[in-house]
Amino acid sequence: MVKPRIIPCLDVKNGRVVKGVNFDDLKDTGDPVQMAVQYCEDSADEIVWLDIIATIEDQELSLDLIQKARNALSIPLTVGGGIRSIHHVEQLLEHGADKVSINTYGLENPAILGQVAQRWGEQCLVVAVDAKREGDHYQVYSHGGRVRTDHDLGEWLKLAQDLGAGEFLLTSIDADGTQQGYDLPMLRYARQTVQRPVIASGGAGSIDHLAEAIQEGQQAVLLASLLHQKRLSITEIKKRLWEKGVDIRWP
Amino acid sequence: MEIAVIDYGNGNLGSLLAALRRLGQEPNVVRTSKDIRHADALIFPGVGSMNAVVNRLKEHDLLGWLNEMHQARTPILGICLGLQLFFDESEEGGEGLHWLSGTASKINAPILPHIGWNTVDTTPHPFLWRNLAPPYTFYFVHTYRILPDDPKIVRGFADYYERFPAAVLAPPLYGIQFHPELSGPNGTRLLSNFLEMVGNHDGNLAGR
Repeated sequence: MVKPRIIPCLDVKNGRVVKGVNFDDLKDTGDPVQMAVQYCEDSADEIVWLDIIATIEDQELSLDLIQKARNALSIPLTVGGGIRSIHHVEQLLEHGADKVSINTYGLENPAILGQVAQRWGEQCLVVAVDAKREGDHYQVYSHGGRVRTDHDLGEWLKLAQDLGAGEFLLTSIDADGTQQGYDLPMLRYARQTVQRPVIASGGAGSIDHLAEAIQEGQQAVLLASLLHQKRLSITEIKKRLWEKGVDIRWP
Repeated sequence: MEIAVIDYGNGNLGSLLAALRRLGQEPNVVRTSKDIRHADALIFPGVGSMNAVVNRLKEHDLLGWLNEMHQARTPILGICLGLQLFFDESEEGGEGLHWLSGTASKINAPILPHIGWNTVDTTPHPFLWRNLAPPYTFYFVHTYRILPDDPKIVRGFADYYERFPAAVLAPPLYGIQFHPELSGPNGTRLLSNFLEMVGNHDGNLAGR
């Protein structure tokens, strides 16, 4: 059976890795290429690289760094953040991304999801979704969690699946950066709603949090703060997951 | 040694080219017949969907050359969709190269694509697995799997809600459903084994 994927996430701004709490208060934690290589050597199953892009110069710097990371990495690399055109997707793939992650632009212009899936295959398209609990349901937010959209989570997941999403990267705005655990009810809801792999994001603060999500059926979990603050290495995490009976992959 | 990588998709070959370069190769990417030059081995990467690939190969005037290379017993490594292309057709509608008889159809699973690291049960002796560290765990990303008419060519199986063929050896054709270029140290060794076999005159090693 497929093994649960432990995926470090690099939030990259101006060529540096940053990480915030509840989508704000960004702190510099390192060089993205160096960190991606370290995580790869430390048995990461994939790397997710999310750019925070403000200018054209940022974009050029980012492409250069992505190519450097690709040249050194022997595991899959997903790149996202700030994608606003098919041309940008093309550039990211040409610079060695294996998949692209699209969030806000897919909400504004859902047709791009279909275009990417048709041209490069559904396996190439990760649809990233940020959602927040509102009463009896979850609501989708765009622009890094700042703008409330009209989409209910379930409705958007199904639409994106129909358009060609190969995978979802689901972040709970409520849980992100809190290190209090993944939003298990939201993840459960997403898994029951779509027939695509879902990557859990937001809230991991301990190995128990990873184990409980995986044991519930999560195929993939995203990690950021837990790793960047060097509290735990991926090897340590995997060793302890293994001891808890989780069938992880050793490199 | 000259390795040609066939680009029948949209140029999403970055990880495969990077992996080959790390192994000291400077692969020649063949998109149209203008790119053809001498090749000791071909690699068919795994991008996109089977639908229309053969038509694209025809349009780019590559089909004749590929068939000649195959008839001349040039070693050919098919990765993911590249492996599926060796066969007759795909359930999704695309035609293959008819080099091996069989089809590709959708995996019976509630969650697709099958994405992630999975273990391959191998049968003994195939050179592809030499010097790999067990368990043989590789990175997969696919929705379709092959159903070869001849079960004897299957040299590895993986399990995702069902058992399916993950590796085929039918020299000069070598096919793997997973992505060695994305499969860490074991994937690198596998690619290196293929290159070494190509370097060792005419793929004889493969028959051992």
